[in-house]
Amino acid sequence: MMAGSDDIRLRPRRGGALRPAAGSPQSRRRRRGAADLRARMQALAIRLALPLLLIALWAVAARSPGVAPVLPGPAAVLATLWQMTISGELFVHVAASLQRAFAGFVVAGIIGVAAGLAMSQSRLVNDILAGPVELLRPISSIAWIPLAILWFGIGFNSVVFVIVASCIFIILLNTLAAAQNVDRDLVNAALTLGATPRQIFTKVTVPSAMPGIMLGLRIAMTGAWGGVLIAEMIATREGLGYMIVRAQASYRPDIVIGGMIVIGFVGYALNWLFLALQRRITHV
Amino acid sequence: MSHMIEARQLTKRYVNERTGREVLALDHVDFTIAAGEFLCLVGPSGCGKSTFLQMVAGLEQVTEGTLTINGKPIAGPGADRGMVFQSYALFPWRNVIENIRFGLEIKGLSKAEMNEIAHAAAHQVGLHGFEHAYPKELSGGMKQRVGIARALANDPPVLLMDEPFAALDAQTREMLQEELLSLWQGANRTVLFVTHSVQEAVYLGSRIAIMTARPGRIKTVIDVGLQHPRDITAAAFGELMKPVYAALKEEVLKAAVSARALA
Ligand SMILES: Nc1ncnc2c1ncn2[C@@H]1O[C@H](COP(=O)(O)OP(=O)(O)OP(=O)(O)O)[C@@H](O)[C@H]1O
Ligand SMILES: [Mg+2]
Repeated sequence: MMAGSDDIRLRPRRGGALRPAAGSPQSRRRRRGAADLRARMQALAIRLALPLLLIALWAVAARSPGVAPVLPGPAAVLATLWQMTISGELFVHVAASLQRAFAGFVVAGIIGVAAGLAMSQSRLVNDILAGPVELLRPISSIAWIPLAILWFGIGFNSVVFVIVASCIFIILLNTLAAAQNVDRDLVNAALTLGATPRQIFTKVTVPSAMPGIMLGLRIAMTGAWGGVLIAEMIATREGLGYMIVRAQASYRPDIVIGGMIVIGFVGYALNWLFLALQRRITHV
Repeated sequence: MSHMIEARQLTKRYVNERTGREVLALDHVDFTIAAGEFLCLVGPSGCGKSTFLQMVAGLEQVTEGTLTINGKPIAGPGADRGMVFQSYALFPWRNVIENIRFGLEIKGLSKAEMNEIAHAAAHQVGLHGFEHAYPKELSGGMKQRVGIARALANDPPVLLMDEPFAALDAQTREMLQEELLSLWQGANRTVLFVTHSVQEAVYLGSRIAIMTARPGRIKTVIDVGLQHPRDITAAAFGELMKPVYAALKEEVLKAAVSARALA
């Protein structure tokens, strides 16, 4: 009877919400037919309507007299992107940006989760870290760039530093909040089953905080992707951020717009990938 | 092997950390729960039933007096006293078998042993076929079966149950009562069961302890001389409910009066 529940649970849901497996999953799947397909096509059409309209408006606007030099049309931008794809140039920039974003995200993730968990467990650690965290948190990622360049020069390290600074706090604070709000009854249940404080931490606190930690990581990942582009505009010689700033200087609006589109798609893909991974490893 | 629980002059005072206000929850309670008995605890809301259970579980500290199990003072929680919660308290990230297995993991059993015991416990409480379901996929009755199986898998000599069936519908409750009785009769286990239902208490208990309005004391203890299975429609059953109901009502009224006086 529960055999089909895995598929139901792992199916993608917007916002990570999960539909409860009501009724028999199999019978529901069998009923899925032509009507369901039509409903899905309709949903797809609704979702695509606005983007398509905007592209059409863009195409029209690009043709109007006077704007052509600053606003190349969709076809021109696509052509440029295609050109940069086959020349391999785009790949170099995307790879550079992804590499740095990933490196910064991993460093921030490890430190942020560890510090958040430590603060949730120890009054002393909390008292030591809470002040500095609150002081450093409001400093925007842009404001870290001058210091990063002074310390690490132009290049990989300074970009990673900026990303870490721009996303570590959201990870830390989400982890802390999640680890502090563990249901008292769950802890009590574990205690009456013989768990030691250490086992409570590993078997109750951490898994129970996992959804909150994941949420923090997901927000931070978007932050890391935004942060890498900001940092690259100033502190590097390649990457998508550098690419669009250089295009601006050399008066190539097609590359600027094309770059922004790539940034958007990569960000979207990262979020999608994260949610898919999260669904695989958690069941809550 | 079952255990005896003994409270001597047991007092519990809660102190509110913010306001510093004190609440006297239990006031010099003297009470003995015999080894192997099924004791039902009833009393008005707020009289300290959960408090007593939590102290036996070792989750709450004793303020004054002594609380012992087989003569040894209770110092903290332990696997010898299993607990079943009204809120189920299942681990939502673990499926049924993984929930039931929790205590066995703590004990450090081998994977094969754990699975054997956990599957047997799941089977015992009628969870067959739901071993791999997650708590959010289960009905309330199913969840509480998991809660019971999880406690039983540890084979604790003492089982503490705080209104375990209060949130369930009547049919499910009756079924679980039945199953709980057969689980208790099979193993020589001491059960401490809190309920608000007089009928449930008379149906399940070997004895019924009725508590006074707060501060809680033991008002009276009634022996239920009926054999299992009990017939709730029998005249003798109704006769037994009467004194329990009367004593409880008296205390509930007292609690209402003192609540009004405070307001
Ligand atoms: N952690 C706590 N801090 C302060 N006061 C508490 C705490 N837990 C319980 N109390 C108080 O102690 C008294 C007894 O509470 P307890 O939960 O034991 O009652 P109960 O008999 O289980 O009630 P109910 O039938 O409503 O579950 C109540 O007045 C309650 O407000
Ligand atoms: Mg209670």
